[in-house]
Amino acid sequence: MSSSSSSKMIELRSSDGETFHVEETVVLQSETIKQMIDDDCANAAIPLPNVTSMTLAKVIEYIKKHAEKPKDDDDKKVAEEDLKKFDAEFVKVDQESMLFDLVRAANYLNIKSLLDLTCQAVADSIKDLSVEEVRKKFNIQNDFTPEEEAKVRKENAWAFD
Amino acid sequence: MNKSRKLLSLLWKIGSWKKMFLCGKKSLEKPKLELPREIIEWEILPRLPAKSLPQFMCVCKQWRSLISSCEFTRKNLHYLKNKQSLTHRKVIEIDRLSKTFTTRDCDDLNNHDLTTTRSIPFVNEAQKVNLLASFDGLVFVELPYIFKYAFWNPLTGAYEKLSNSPNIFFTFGAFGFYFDSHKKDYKVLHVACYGAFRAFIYSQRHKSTKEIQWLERPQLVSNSFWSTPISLGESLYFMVNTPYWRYSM
Repeated sequence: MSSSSSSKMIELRSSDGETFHVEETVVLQSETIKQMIDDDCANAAIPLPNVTSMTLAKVIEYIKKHAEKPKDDDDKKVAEEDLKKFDAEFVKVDQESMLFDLVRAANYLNIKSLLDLTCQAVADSIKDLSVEEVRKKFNIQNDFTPEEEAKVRKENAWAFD
Repeated sequence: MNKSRKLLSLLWKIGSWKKMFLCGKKSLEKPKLELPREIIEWEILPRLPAKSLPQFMCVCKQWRSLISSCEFTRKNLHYLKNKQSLTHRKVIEIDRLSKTFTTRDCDDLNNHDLTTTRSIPFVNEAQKVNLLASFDGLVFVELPYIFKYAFWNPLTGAYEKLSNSPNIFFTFGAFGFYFDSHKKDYKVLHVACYGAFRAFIYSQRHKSTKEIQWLERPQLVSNSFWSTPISLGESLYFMVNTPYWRYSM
């Protein structure tokens, strides 16, 4: 692992014009940015028009933590546990909109582990909701007629208890 | 390290302040935050535990057809397996007269709260169904009257018939259900050892059948008895019983 002083810095610009400087080795976790760097499009600040500064700061916190390399095998186990704890805390956000923002940012920046983490957190948050609550949360129109809905509910009645 | 953290938290604060300010300035009514449809459908729903899915089929027509698709099942099982939460073991019983199937909890067979009886989805088309093998909550079935094999997910009712099932004569034999992690596909290895010795692989992803040549001298094991295989990792282990007279040849 090269020392941080010798690592190249990449400049990212959020949708609201904030700039962030992140080490190249860290930012390569984003496939989208990696592609830009490979295509030599990263000489100036990389504009990220879909990500707000608030979300981007969170994303950077995540990729920085995930870029830390353990020194030896003993350290590795501790680091893995530590990372698990970090991940669990990371998705405990006050507002659901923040979690949704992170899902969108992970998708746009193509950071697979972050997409996995945040989507699983959304899935965990909806798994015990009622059908009506899920419709409300995702703004989904119920397009069943009352008869059709009764039929589908009857077919799957065994899953409602 | 500490310095950068401080900087980050400072930026974070500026960011949140700025966002609040901007929101307040633009309009008081915050637009409802939504996730893109493909993320909800392909990244979030497949991560739900099995029990939520039948309920969520009632949300809208799109979710109903999505959750009953075989592609969705494959993705869902993939995530559940990684989470190691496939903890419910169920037994399936088929009732040919009433054309229904009953699932019971393996740990508590007589607990009627955990027992459900539902109609078999393809029974009108197939009239009869034989269960051949199961794995990860998927069941491989034979539909003898229409000469087809199918992959069936009893939880959501999704089933997919194979496009080119081999002649039903070969149904005799052993079926080994496994997951091909390289191709991310559920597959069944079928060793048909009655008469001519042949072997087929059925793919859930491609809904197809492929015959394979895998033994150099198949005549040595034809007319042998192959046990139900034990699956260990990505290998299937069969016990093969060759009739005594084979050795005298």
